[in-house]
Amino acid sequence: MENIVEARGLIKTYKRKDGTEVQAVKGVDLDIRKGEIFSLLGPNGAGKTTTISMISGLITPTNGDAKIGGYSITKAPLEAKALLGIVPQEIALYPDLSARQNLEFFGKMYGMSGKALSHRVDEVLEFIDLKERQRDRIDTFSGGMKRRVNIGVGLLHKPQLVYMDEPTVGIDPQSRRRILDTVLRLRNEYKMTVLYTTHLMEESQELSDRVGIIDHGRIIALGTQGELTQQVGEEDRLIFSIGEHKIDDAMLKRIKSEVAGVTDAKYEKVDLIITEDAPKGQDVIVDKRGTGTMTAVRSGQTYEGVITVLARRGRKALPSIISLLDSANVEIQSVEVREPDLEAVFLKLTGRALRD
Amino acid sequence: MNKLLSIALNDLKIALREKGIWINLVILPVILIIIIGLVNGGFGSSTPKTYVDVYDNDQSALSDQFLQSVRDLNPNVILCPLDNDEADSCKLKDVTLDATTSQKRVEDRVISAIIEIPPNFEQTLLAGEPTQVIYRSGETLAQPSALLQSVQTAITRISGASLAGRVSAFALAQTEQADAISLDAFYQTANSIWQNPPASIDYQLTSGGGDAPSGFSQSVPGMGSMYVMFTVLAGATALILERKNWTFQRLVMMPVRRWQILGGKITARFLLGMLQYSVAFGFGAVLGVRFFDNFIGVLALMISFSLCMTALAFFIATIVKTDMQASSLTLLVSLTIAPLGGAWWPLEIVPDFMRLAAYATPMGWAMHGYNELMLYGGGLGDIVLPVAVLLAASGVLFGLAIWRFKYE
Repeated sequence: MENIVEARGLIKTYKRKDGTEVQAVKGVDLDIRKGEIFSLLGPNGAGKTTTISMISGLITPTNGDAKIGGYSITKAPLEAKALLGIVPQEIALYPDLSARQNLEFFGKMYGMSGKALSHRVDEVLEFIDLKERQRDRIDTFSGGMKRRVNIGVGLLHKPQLVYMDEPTVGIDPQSRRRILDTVLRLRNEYKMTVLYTTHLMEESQELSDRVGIIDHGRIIALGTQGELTQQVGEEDRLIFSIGEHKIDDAMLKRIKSEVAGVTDAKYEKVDLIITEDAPKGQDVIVDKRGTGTMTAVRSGQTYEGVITVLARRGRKALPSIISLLDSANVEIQSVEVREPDLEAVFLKLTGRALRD
Repeated sequence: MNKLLSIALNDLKIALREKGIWINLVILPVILIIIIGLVNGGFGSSTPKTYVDVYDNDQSALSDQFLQSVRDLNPNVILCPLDNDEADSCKLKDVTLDATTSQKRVEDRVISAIIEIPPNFEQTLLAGEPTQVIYRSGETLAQPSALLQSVQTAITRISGASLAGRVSAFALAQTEQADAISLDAFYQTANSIWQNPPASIDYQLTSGGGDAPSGFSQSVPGMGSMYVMFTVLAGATALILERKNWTFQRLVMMPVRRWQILGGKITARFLLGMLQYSVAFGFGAVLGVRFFDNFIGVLALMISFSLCMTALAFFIATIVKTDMQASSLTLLVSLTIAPLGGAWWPLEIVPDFMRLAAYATPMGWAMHGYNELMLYGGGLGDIVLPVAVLLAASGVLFGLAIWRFKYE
C-alpha cells in the first residue's frame, strides 16, 4: 500500500536555559499508509506532539526529514501542508468570531475564496452538525461544539491526511463518542488518512488500523494491535491491592510454584499522598497514582502494597492465589484482572503504565 | 498577498470586536484631549508665546520704537529681559544674559531668536547711513517664521520712515522754510504715518495660529500618540494570546508563508494605529486645531510613529512569555514614554535633562515633529529628522523582532 507520510531519522533537540541540550525526539522513522487510521500512542511527554509538529511543519527538525504525499516538509512546505488538515489539541479558533467566520477565514488560508469557499463551509458545518449555530460566537459554544469546529477547520480543503492531536481531551463522554465516530467516518466515507495521537489506550484500540508506541522520543513498537499484543504473549495480569501489608519473596515463590498457569509474581510499594482530612483509621477515597481509578484507603496510610501476577487464564488462577494470600493473613482490598492489550504492551516494553 | 490581507483584515475584525475597544479608541482619547488641552492653555490662549533675547546696544528712542513695532506686529512676542514678568516667563532666574547664554537658549528652544541692535543705531539711521540689526535663530530663511517676518516689517517701517524723512528734508532744502523744520520732525511724521501704511500684509500663523487653541494643538497629537501607543502595543498581548490559543501555530501549519503571517499581523496593528490617529486628529479638527496646511508632514509623522510602535509591539512579544507580562510591560512602557516624550505637556516647560531624555523615546521625536508643524509654523524640512529617527528605530526594532521571533 502507498505511503502518505514517510519520516526518516527525525530528531529534535532543544537547548535548556543552562545551555545543556535535551533530545525530545531521538530519531523517528515512520511510514503511514494511505487510507488508514494510524495512532501514535504514548504517555504525556513521550514525544508524540513534537514528532507530529515536525511532520506538519510547525517546528523544524534538528535532523531528518518527513514527506507528505511525496513533498518534503522542509523543502516544499507549502505543497506538503496543502495535503494536510490540522486538528490541534488546543481549541485553535478565534473566540470572538462565529463558527462560520472562523471557517471562512481558515478556508482563505487554504487558498479558497468566493462561492467555492462558501459552499465548502456549508458542507463542513453540515458534517460537524453545527449549521444551526453557525452565526454564534465560538465563546458561546460548549467544549464539545468547539472541538467539532476545531475538527471542521482541519477538513475544509478536503485534505488527504488529517492530523488529530488528542481531540477528545477535556470533553464529556457523549461528545467524545461523537468525535470518535467522526474519525471513523473520515476513513470509511471520505477515504482520508488519519494520524491520531492519544494517551488513551482505549481510543487507540477502537480506532486504529495500526499503532505506533512512542516513549522517551523513540518509536518502541509499531504494527497492528494483534501484532503488538502478540509481543506480550497471552498472559493475563492479576493486580492485588493489599494495603500496607508487606509480602516477602517466599510468598511470591509460593504463588509461582503452587498456582497453575502463573509465570511471574511481583510485589511493589506505591506511595500514597492523601490530602483529604479525616480521622485516623477512617476510610478515604483517593485517586490512586493519578489514574482516575478511585480507591478506598485508610487515612494515615502512607503506601499501598500491590502484587502483580502474570498468569495464563488468569481468572482460573484467581481463587488459588486468594487462598494462598488468605492463609498468610494478607487482607486483599481489591483485585483487577487485565487481559493483554496495548497497555500491557507498553508496560512490558517500558516497565511503566501508560498513565504513569 | 491575498493571504496577508486576509490575515490583516481578520485581525482588525477581531480587534474591533473586543469588549470596550470603542472606549479606548474613541471615548477616552477624546476626553483626555479635552482635559489635557485645557490644562495646557485650551481656549484661554490662542497662540503660544515667542520669546526673544534682545541686546539693545543703542538704548535710543529709535531703538525703542523699533522694539515696540516688533511687539505691535506680533503680540505673542515676549522680548527678554525687557518684558519679563514676575513669573520669570523669560526664564532668566540664575542666568546672566550674554551672547553664549542666548545662543544656548536658542538651541534649547527656550527662546526662538536673538535680536541685537548695534550701537549708534539711531544716529546712523538718521544720518542715512547703512546699519544692521542682527537677528539670530535656528530657523531656515526659506521658511521664515512669523517672528522673523515681524522683525523684517518693523525694520522696514523704521527704514522707510527714515527714508521718507530724508526725502522730505531734501525737498524742503530747496525752499525758504528749510531751517524751520528739523530732520527729526520729518522722521517722526513719516513714522507716524507708517503706523497705518497704505498697503500691508496681514501676518497670520499658518498652524497653531488663527483660532486654534494652543492647548489643543499640544493635546491632540500628544493624546493621539499616547493612545496609538496603547492600541498598537496591545498587539504584543494579542500575539502572545494567539500563541496561547494556538491559532498562530495553526496558521504556521497551513500553506501560508511565514512572512505573510507576520506581514498580516503587522499590517493590522499599523492600521489600528492610523485609525487611532484619525480619531484624535478628526476630533482635533472639530476643536479647530489646524493641521491641514501641513497635512503631508502630519501624515508622515503619523505613519512613522505608528510603524515604530508596531515594531516595538512585535519586539515586546519576543521578550515576554505570558500575556500578563506583555500587558504589564506595554502599560509600563506607554506610561513612561508618553509623559517623558512630551505627550502630556510641552517639553519647553520641563528641565533640560528631561528634555534631553525625551529624545531617547519615539514619543519625544514624534512630538518634536508635531510641535514644529503645529506650534512653530515649521514645514516639511523641519520634520525630516524626526521622521528619519522614527523610521530608523522601526527598522532596528523590526530587525530584532524578526530575528528573535519564534513561530513554534
